[in-house]
Amino acid sequence: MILQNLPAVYLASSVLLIAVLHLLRSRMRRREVATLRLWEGLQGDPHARTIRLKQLIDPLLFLQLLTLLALVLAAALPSIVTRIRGVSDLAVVIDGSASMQTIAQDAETRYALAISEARSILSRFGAPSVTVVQLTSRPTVLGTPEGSRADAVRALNGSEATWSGDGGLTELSIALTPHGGLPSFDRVLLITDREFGDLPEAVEQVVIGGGENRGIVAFSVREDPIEPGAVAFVEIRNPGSEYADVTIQISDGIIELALPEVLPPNSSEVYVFPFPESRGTTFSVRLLPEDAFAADDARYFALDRPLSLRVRWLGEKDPYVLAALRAVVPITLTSSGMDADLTVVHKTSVPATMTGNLLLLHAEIPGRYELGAMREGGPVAVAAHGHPLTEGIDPASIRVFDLPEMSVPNSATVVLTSGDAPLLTEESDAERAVFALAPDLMTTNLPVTVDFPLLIQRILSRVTRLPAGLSFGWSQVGAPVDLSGLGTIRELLDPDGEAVDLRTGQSSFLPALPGHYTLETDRGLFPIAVNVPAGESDVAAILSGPEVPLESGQLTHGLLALWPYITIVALLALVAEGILRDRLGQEEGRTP
Amino acid sequence: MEKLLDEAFLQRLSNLRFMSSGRQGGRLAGFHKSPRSGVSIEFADYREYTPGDDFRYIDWNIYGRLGRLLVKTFAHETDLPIYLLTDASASMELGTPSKVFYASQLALALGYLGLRSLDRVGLFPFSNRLLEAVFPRHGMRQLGRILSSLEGLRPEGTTSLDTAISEFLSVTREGGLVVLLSDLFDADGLEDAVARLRYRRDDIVVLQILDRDEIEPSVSGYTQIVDVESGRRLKMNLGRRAVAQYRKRFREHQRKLSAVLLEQGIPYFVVPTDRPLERVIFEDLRAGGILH
Repeated sequence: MILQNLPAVYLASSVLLIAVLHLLRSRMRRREVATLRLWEGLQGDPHARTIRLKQLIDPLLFLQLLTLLALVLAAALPSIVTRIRGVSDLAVVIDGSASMQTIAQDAETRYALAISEARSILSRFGAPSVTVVQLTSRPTVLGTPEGSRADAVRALNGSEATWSGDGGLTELSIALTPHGGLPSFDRVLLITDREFGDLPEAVEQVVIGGGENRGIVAFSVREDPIEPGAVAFVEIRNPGSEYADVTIQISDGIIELALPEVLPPNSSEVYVFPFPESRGTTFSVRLLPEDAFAADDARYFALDRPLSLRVRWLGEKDPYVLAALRAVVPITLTSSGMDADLTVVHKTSVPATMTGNLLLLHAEIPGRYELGAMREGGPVAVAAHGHPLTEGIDPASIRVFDLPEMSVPNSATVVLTSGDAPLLTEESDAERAVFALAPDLMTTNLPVTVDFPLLIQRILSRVTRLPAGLSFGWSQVGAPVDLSGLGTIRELLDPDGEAVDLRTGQSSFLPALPGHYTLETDRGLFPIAVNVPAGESDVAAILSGPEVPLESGQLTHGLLALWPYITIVALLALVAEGILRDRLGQEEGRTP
Repeated sequence: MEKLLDEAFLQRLSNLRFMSSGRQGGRLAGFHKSPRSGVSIEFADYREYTPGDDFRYIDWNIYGRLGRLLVKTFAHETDLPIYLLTDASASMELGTPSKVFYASQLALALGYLGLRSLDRVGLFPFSNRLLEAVFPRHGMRQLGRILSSLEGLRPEGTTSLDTAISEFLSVTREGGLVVLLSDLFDADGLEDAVARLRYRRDDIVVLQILDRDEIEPSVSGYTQIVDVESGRRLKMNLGRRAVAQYRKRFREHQRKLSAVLLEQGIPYFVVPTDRPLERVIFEDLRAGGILH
């Protein structure tokens, strides 16, 4: 038996309350007589306990409780599964792809409408076992056949549409395989917002529609082959029947462009946006205003560019440093300080007003970094344990023969020391970073150690994104992203800035949200662009889906409502109680 | 109290009258033959003709004027004082209908019969004493007084038949027909009371008013039994066995009562309250020679 209004059963607790109250007030019967003389000395009935028990079990109370219980049960809307035709199991499949997040009507998403439809189906169909599947490119079984109908409804209510792409019959078959596969279900109801072709006979489709959608159906960025910079390509589709005033906002992560545009009805337009001199890597485009399906109004692209590090050199050139820089990243020497990624200052002095990232090699900034008297070098030690600059560096392998006493500002961090003197410091804020190596390189063994290029690589990774070994372009929600070959993973942040849990050794992850993910490894920062699958933009603007043809197909079970019969029982019990009470009342009235 | 008797019922009593043993003699005319010799020609009253009346006493003049058959009554027929002694102790409150209500109906009916037969009828409710005295009088106005007294009865107190009869005898000097209506659970004083009435040469009729549950109590399980007159209580499991014992004891009580009364030739009727009043009057009392 299935109770469709389970909370009503809680009212049955009142039966207990009434029974307790009855027992509390269970009274001895009272008989008034004209004289006690005829009663005194009589021996009472020997079966006292039985009589007492019979007295406690008041038939009127029994009938009243029966009436109450029946009414409570009727209020719980009980029903039983009746067999109509050859039966078996029912699978309710809900499309959980991103397009189901389209606002369909009355601020309800298509997914919410689908849930509502699924609940309605579950209440109408009486199959004893119901399997609930959320169908996406990575389907999920929400309710297994072993669970109750209430479990299935709970699972439905607790589910949400994903940002993943559509799943097909293949994915559905895979999801149902542990439960006997698609053929083992007599009826499969597929609630979706798209038309499936060539469905098996047992699968019936309920289409949930509504909500208009214009979206960015394609977004790509590439290097400008002619001039330095990048070129972005955007395709926007307006499937509506009216012109749409929109604004296209596109950004390379540094510069943002905006283009007002009127989209013709039923059109698909391609736009090309040049980004001359752009060195951005995280491109994104937005279509404003957002429509009913916002997920495809924003697209993301990560451009892995063969960048060269622009280095400005001040002072005497040092071939070892240049070699170390080139070992880490291609560099371009520039004389301009405006667009330099790093300024190397070697054995000279620069004013404190100098902007940009600085690497001071036995160099000074008067008033901030000043070199004093030379002193003999001592053992090299890590002063800031765990500092990223020292990662992979073995201080014991570094020798310093002598070095100057270097005064550093309070905001600087001494990373390495030689003896007690600062050897390497870092000072960084939101604007720039300043690294200072106190000794003359030639008085150290750094140029000939393997730790030197590594140290330079650590320094560079603190000031600029190092080129990634792999290029993602963009991935899509639900599709695995390979992280192998990118170095030791330190952190992966999702588009909301939340850390993604990665197990040790995990070499891929499944993005769940569209946007720019940021992967940080010991090799640098890697942008990973993730989009909603393009196919999700192709959402049919169906206003209302057809009703489920209940009598079609191989329908099998039905629900027989029991509450009318139980209500009749309650009424009969009530009538019987009335008659009995009347009779007992007459008998009691005769009692002298 | 609901209406004791309706007029239709009283009309049906028209053919009945009390039978007297002939020992008593009243001061006024009635249908009871006087023990005193001589014929009275003194006109006393009219009454409706009933079959069996002597045609000679029909007043034909009135019939000619009014079309009604009325019979003249004369003083040579002596009246009979009828004393209705109604038990109004607390025990009479019991039953459905209550015994006091049933007894009041019966007393009113008998009073009506007596007054209609030109007897003097009085009412004396009692419990452990005489509660009120409506002295015997003629005429239908007396019926109103009796009715008023009966309607005012509120059963209370214990029963002391001996004391009540003593007080009754002290306020009434003339012997007559004493109709005692009581549940007679105070059997101890009954013998003395009856003896005193007999000594005054009263005719006595005893109507024992009982509820059916007093005769055949039902099984009611674990019960607190309360004496409504004394307030004493008793707890017992009232099963079949206890009920059987009660019946046996009740039969013994009744046997003693009847022995006392029948030994002195006193008509004695057990009247359950579930017995229709008409059957009591038209069957039981006629068959018992109280009415004819």
